[in-house]
Amino acid sequence: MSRKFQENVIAIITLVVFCAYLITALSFGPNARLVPLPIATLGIFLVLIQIIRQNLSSSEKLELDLLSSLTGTTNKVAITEKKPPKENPHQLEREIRAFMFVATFVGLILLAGPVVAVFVFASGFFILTSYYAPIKAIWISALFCLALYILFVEILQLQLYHGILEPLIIG
Amino acid sequence: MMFEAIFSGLAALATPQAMLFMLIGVSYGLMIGILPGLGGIVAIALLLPFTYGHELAATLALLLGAHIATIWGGSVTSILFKVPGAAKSLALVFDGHPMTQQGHASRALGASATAALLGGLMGAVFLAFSIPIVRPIMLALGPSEYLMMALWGLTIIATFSEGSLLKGMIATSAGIMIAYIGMDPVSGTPRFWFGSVYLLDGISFPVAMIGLFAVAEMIKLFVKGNAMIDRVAGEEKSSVLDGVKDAFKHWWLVVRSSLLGLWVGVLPGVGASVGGIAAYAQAAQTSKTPERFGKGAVEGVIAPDATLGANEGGGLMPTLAFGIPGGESMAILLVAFLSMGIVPGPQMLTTELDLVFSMVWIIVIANIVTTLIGLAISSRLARLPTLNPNVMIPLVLSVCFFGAFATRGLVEDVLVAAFFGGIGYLMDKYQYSRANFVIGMVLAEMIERNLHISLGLYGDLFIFTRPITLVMFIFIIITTALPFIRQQRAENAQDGNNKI
Amino acid sequence: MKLLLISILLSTLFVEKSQAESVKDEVVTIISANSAGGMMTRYARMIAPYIAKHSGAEDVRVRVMTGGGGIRGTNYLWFSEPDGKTIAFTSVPSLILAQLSGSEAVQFDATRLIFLGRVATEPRVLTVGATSIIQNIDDARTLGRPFIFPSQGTDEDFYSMAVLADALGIETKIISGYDGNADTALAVIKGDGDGHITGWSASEAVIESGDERPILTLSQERYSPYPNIPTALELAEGESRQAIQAIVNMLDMRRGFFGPPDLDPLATEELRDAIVAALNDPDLIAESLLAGLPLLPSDGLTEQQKIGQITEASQVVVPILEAALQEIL
Repeated sequence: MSRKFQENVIAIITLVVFCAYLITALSFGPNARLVPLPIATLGIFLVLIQIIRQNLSSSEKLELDLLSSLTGTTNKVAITEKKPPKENPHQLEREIRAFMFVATFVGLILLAGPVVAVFVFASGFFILTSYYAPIKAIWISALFCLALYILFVEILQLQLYHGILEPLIIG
Repeated sequence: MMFEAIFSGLAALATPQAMLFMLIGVSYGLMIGILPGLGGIVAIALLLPFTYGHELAATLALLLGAHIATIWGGSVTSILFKVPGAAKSLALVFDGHPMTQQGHASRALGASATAALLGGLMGAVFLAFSIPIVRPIMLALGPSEYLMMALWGLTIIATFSEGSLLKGMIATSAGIMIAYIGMDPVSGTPRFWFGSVYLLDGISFPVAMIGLFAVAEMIKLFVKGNAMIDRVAGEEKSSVLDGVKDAFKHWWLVVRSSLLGLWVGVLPGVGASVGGIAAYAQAAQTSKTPERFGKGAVEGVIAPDATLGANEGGGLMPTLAFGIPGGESMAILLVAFLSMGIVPGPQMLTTELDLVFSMVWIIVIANIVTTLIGLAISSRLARLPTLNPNVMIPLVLSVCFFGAFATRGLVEDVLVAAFFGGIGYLMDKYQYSRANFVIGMVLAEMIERNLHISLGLYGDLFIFTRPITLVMFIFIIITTALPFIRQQRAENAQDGNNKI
Repeated sequence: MKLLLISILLSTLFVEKSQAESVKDEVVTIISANSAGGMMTRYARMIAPYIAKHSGAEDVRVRVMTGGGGIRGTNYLWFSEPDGKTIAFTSVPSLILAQLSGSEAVQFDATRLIFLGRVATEPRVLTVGATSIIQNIDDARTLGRPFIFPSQGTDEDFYSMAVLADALGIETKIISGYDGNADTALAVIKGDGDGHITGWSASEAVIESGDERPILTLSQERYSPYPNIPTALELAEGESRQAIQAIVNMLDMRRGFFGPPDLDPLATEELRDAIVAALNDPDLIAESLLAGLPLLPSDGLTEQQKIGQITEASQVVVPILEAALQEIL
């Protein structure tokens, strides 16, 4: 996937979301849509310019700014902006893994509540990345979990969420 | 009379209980401030049950001390981890974190703590001396002027944003659009809620910020596979003391930012999160080298912290003098004041002046204590971002999700934080400014509210019929155009040189 | 032996189910439908142990369920078992108004909730700026231009003003979008707005300081510290009076406990008695004074009757509310 292709995917998704937003906003009363409607219109206009520009200009010029496109001049500040870093070949794979880790963690929280989820996720992460030996991983996660529990539940009096599983198990 | 009050105000604090409470308040505030998503409001709300039956001055020391300490606590995580502790510490991310990346974390923390201290001191002094002029200014500014302030904030940040201006503007629009999810503040119309009562309350700022910055940074860290700050590259190149010196060197910036913070605090329609951004904007705008901003300019750390420090003094002013709280946390403080038998009103500035000065002293002392603790722990804190990612990722993610959950006690907030984590990662990768997004989110409601009120009160042409608004409007146009004009001139000059 | 034990246990469970539900030795959960740090939840947390003490319940716990201005928690309560183990505490007027104005998020019918008792309420007051030409409520009626009313959106004060305007013949322009009481107060003091409605406690400071002037009270009787300020009820007659009475009744219900529809009669009685006893407990009264959370109790039966009156008057009130809402949409 070339950078240009990725940029286009992102821009088109943004465009679709903005359009959906605009259509939803049309159903509101005149006061409720007074600000959202023009903002959505502006957003769509900006994304369209972005899509046109990133496909018409060469890839090095992707980071140029609006002024230069309007006035035809080139903006030095924009040109010297850092170029997107070279991607390593395993980038996509690592990204998918990262997103999956976050999703797993959130799933655990929903199922078992934050305290159990933190313990399982932290010890699992330590073990999977083989940063700590299993026993030490469990020990450290338990300690960390306890610290969070004391801080949030005992000191800050947070009412914990117990997860979907608890009523199924305990009844 | 005034001098008498100054001394008796201080004397009231010279009891063991008051001093102990101050210490407890400050330590507790620092801890709450450092936790993502939790800020001064949570800190005070949680302390309220413990405020009954103690000395008045001691109770005030506990509450105000905790509130003041949260401010710097929020800056710490912005600087070190790019995780704003609260909405108002967002501006610290822009230059504070780049400083950390360049190995100047201690210096940034030192500058930040000192600026907050100086801001707090100036806020307190101005609070004491501006008592007679606060009222006319409060009465002179109204919704149309607040609207202009919000628009100014938007345009300034858009022009100073890093990377592509066009993408920055798209991000700002998206941020504004996200902020309109939930009940409309004007007509109560549910917008973009898709039948979910959760969405009816809108997307919470702290939760979105935890996702956009903290969770996204952890995803990035995982993808990158090495530490947030390279241990070698991130080797400390400067000390806390350098930061302290920086703050004093830029004394004029500190003075200006503190004044700004004071007034942002005084006006009930303008929140502290706007103050931090406005301070950053004016620092960048008045700098001779604005191009250094966003890349680790120490002024970008000093200005917002001084503003936030001074903000508290400003917020107390209308709370005490009118019983009109200057912001959300002041509203909770007002509840506490009333329960302690402090009845706000003009008499606070005459017969109860010593109580006001007790509070001024509390602000001063709490700032000093916070800064002393802060400076003492800064060099230790500065080492945190060099932790191995395999330790950092699970621990920071856990604290983030706990924090997201704790903001409202809703498990849906954890989902939202994770969702914004993904969005934040993509925005960072494809260089759509996350800061612009959040600023759009923060200012959206202020824009909508004040536009509606201005139209209702002053008619469609309010910009031209309200003199102060018109002046501010012209000012916005000039400040927005200035960077473009400067650049055009520079280019013309260069063209001329080339021809010769 | 084991089998016998289990069957005895099961049979007692079964018998209990078929009998009336009592909260004795049970764990009762109070859903606090507002924010965790807010006044409502502080009230609930303060009172919960006293309800436990007077009801014989094993424990009374507070569960915070924030969202949609009390709607989320109340929706949850609406679908919970009517066994007395789940009750709720929030601002009752907000619920009624959310329903009357036709909010799509509302899944409950406030008139079918079982009201268990009111904890506190305070009269609301219409105030004008000290420099305003409006000296009293008659000036507002004969202003010759619209009375400008800064409002926070569609809260109870917005609807109260809509009903007042209709019933007392005050030509009104509601400017919505203000950010809280402080913001509307400032607008009135500055002269951007003519007057706003708040609770007495929120306005007392600005009235004492001479920045605002009260002109009308929204309560059953005149507010004792200001005996010269008339109530809205005194000024209206016939259908208008009925509309104002409905609004006053509704505002009067302010901070209240309630249970799901068809709440078990025994549990209802126990809880109503326990709440009355708790709110008259000298220890709780002392605690409430210290905490700055004043009590003004009213029993559940009285509150239930108010709901009846509100429902009766709804034909008069609803069109007014709808018209007011239409104007700002």
